Amino acid sequence: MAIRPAGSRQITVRLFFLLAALTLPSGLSAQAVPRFDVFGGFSAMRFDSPPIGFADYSYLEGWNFGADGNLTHSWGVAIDASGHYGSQLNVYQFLIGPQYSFRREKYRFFAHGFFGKAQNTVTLSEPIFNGNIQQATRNGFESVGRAWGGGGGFDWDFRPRISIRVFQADFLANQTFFATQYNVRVSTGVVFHFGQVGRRRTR
Amino acid sequence: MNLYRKILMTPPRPILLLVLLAAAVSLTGCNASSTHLAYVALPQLNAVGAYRVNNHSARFTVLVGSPFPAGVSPSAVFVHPSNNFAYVANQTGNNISLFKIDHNIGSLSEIFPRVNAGITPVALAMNSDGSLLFALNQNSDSISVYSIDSGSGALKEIAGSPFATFSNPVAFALTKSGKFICVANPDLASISVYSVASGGALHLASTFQFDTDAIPFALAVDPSGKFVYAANSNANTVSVLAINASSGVLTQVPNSPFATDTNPISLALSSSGQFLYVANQGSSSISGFSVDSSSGLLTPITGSPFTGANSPVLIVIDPNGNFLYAVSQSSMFLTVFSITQGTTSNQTTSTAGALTTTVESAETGAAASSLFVTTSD
Repeated sequence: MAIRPAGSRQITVRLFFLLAALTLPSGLSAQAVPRFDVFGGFSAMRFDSPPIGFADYSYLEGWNFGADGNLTHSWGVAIDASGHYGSQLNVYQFLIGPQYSFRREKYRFFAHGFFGKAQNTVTLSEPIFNGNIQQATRNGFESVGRAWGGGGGFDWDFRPRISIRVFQADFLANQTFFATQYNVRVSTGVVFHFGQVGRRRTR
Repeated sequence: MNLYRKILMTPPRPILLLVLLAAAVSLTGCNASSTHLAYVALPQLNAVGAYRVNNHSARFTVLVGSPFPAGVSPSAVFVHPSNNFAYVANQTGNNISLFKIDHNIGSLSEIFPRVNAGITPVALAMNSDGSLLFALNQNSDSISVYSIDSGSGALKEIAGSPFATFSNPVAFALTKSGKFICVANPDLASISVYSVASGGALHLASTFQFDTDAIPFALAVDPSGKFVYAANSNANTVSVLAINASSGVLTQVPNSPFATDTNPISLALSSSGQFLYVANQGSSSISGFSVDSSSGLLTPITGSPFTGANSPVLIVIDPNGNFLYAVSQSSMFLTVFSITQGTTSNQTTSTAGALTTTVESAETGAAASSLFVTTSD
């Protein structure tokens, strides 16, 4: 196929093939699809704190654990738990949703949608002392509400049963403290594979 | 099919992944808009409501944890110029609460013990450097004066405090220089002026006796300290009095008093002193005047009085002079008005200062007796 050096047609063709690659049943090798993937790693979050009165966004760090149950070569169910911490904010999210994987021999892209619960805590003040006497206490407020969102990521197969999650990025909304927060979460870590769904079709 | 194969077979390049990651991280670089804080005293709830207010839209966001517990029946709130501390007069508790303000959130945390005031403290004032706090005690006819520890915010009543006033003072205002404090005496139809010594001691400097049926219920002093404005609730007027900078003697300016709508009860001056607004409780309106900075003469702004506030009892202008907040006695909502600025090409100076209702409002949860807005972040 002759491809013109530049122009919208070229972009359209590239997008077409990229879309085809992502949606068609895939598999160039006989690599097995694991039944379960278990992920754990470091995570960072920009928490949308202005809707609850903060002057600016809050940048939090923490952990992210997840597990995928692969039902077919491409489709599965993902559960996800994360905790993020800052000086005055603790954010926990417990999510579940469908996940689509595009697998190649040495890597996979995945995308998922989530819904679940968020449990967020705001600490309002440090202890205040007069000499050795504490005069005010540290006040914490907790709110549990709905959470939803979606995102995706990229895993690189480091070993047959171990992958590196190069990145996972999610846009997650929380409905806590009578307001909605729109948060961005980025995670990285290690993925362990267990079991086997079947063997991929070969071309 | 070469392109198809190329797309499918080419391993992802690390640099592409780094770009993707950088894009995700870049999302975290956006900043929220500049804001200021607003605190309202809520006597029925024994609490103080707190809001973060967007400077551009005047959207009120309730701070998490608000309202914050205060003393019994808080009547007035005042924030220290450092924005580190807030002081609340508890009119039934007859004391003053000190709150530490959280820098990130703006939330309040009370620091005990409360300090005693006189009977029924109804208003607070502070000098510009934040070294002295004044509390007006309505039922004990006095002003309590406290020195403020700049580090801890702690109050210490100065020697000689409280200082006697005339009977039943209901409002007071401190000049920006901190040299004089003016007190409204509605029972006597007068305004008394006290000089403030460097340590905070008060001495009666002068008393202005209205010769009409004017009964002052609210006071405001212009930023230059040249004029004091008095809302005469029963006479439906606002009086303008010139302050003698050395003696503190008040003199009514020519053409004063100026007509307002029904039952003027609260005053708000823009930070430049260019505009004066008067809340008319009886007619549910707000009168607006442009102020002649040299003579004190008031000229009604085109369109004044402005409607949209339900029985306003308290009005405050935002720190940037773009909005006016009106608190109603009966409703549990705070109404936001936009102030027309006179600098754009399609507006004439005659409409500058005009009020327009906005879609923004804030639910206070109870009737508010005081509203204080901080400077912008």
